[in-house]
Amino acid sequence: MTTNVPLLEVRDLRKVFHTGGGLTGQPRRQLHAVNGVDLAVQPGQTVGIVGESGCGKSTLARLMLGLYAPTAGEVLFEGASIAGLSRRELLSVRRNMQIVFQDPYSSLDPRMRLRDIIAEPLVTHGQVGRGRGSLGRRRERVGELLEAVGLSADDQDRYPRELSGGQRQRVGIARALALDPKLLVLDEPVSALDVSIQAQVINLLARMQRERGLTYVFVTHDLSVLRHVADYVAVMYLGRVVEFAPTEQLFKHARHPYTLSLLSAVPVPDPALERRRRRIVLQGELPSPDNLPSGCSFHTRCPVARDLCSHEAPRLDPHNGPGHQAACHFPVSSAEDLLPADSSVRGL
Amino acid sequence: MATLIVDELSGGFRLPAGTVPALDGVSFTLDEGETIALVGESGSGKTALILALMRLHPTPPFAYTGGRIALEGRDLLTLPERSMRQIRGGAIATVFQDPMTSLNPVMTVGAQIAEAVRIHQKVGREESRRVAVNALGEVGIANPEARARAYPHQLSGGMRQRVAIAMALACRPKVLLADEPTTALDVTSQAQIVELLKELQHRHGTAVILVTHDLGLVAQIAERVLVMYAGRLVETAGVDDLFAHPHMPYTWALLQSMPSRAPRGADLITIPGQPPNLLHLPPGCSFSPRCPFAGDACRAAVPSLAERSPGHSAACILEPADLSKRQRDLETEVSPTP
Repeated sequence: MTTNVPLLEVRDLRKVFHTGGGLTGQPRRQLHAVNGVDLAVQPGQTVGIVGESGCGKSTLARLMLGLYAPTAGEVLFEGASIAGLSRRELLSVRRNMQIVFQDPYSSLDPRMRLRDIIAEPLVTHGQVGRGRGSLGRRRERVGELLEAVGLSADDQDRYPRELSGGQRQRVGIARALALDPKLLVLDEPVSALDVSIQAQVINLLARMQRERGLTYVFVTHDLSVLRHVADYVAVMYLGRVVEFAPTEQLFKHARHPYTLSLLSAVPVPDPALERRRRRIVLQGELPSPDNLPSGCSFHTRCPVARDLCSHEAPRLDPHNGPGHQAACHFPVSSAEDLLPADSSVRGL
Repeated sequence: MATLIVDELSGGFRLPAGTVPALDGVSFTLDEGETIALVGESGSGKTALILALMRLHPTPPFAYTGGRIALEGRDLLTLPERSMRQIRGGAIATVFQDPMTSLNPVMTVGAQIAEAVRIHQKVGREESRRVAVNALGEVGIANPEARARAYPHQLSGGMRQRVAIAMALACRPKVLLADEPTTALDVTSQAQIVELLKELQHRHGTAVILVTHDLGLVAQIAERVLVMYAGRLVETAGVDDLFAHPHMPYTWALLQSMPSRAPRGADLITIPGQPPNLLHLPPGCSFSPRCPFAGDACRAAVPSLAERSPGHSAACILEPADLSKRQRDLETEVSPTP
């Protein structure tokens, strides 16, 4: 365990969105996107956040960057809360935390050349001049960044439409690295890419982390990617972290029934193993975050839920030694505990 | 007996800039009840092939330039459009990636399944509604009577894909073409849909062609695999054989680039560069510019898809034994065992 100040920490973070009402004719509802998350990210680490759509992982990522104001709780960067900061102070914190988005098609302005896309953060933060006089300096910096991410300095006069998906994602990474940040929040950075291109971008991110000592928050729905890149994994379900553990520990000794069912749902590229595997197929649908179940929010789909689970929400408590936490009243020790006694679990 | 025989199927898009050879001499057979996976990167021609099998490409710009598609002995390429319309959704059904765009947003899901049933079977309104509700029940939708009255937007993504599958299977097709049916879904819904497809296929003996880029899904569901690159089939094999002994460097590289196959933190083996532009295919083997094992002979002539070991064909001139040795060498070089 380390006693260092985390680079990024969130404490009891909550975000409620209001939907409906007004002219929509829909009833006014409160949508609890992030519902009490505590998480600390140590410098140089990669913390993965995994969960299905609607679990709040992207909202959490945006809260971490101060792109959304939290409804409650706080975000600390290098030990200081970003909530009370003035515009100017926030700007200087922002320089150190950047984001790479999922879709390299919609996150780059189609009317800007690469040189302007990548220079924009440099200009905004006053690191290079905006005017004609600084053109040479801008070209030099942009060229360095393009080469760092495996593109060519000569590419800077091109437009995003001339690039493939993988090349665009490299541009997104170059833009995020322009200010030499300490923290990168990666929101599904490889999900839109083909598997071979995905591998190129994963290798690039690993190299950037080694060379620049970066800290990553890696948000994804893909557990096999996290197993490869993350030091710690936080599993989210309906706005909460239900399990947090060192990566190998999570893959080998998960305790939360939801984590185990996620792990068992991931297909493995090994046909013989796939034929032997028994899969925990969750029943039913994900409840809506505007109408959360009482007690443990997973109890409606949990194969081992008991009475207590529908009344009382479990806390994220330590299990299995240092750094491993699970929010479950009745944590299980293996996937076997979740499968029916007979092996006829194939169908629905 | 083969349900579907595709023989030397070729076709392309005639564009002002030239003809894009989207399909080049594609041959395979699909047996009754069999599941074949069709894999490859975006732009390799997977979807072009599926649409060509259904004759769904607008012609022009698409034109068939050769070959034959035989469904239970009937040559689909010579059928009049009217008969083809009976086959689509009848003997051959499709499930696409995004159920939101393949379902009609202004019709209840029950009504659209019933409509499909009336088009293909001589049944009345009452009967077609009953078939639709049954079909919804069969794909595991609880309370199908009520859900039949729902509109697509009232259902979750996983539910919508179940509806699309119910519609595809309502007319008991011989062949189901599933184009990335789980790609848009979350992993737990994905698992539900895969189990459902397997079960329904088993029950009705439907033959399935599953188009996917997800090799994990292939391992889970397919019996045989067709690997596509630049409009051609470059490797075909049984699923175990393909994963254990890929005879085509492209297949090997696809498998290696999956994060779950590599040791944690190690660099992944990647395929350098991009898939080729079909308008300007490189000389010889179209994969040679990206292939770590390519030599001069590879750039001299296009290798044909030939059987290199029993039941296992590859379009590669390298000897399988030699190739697997060089593949292993490269794997240990990238991630040395401690």
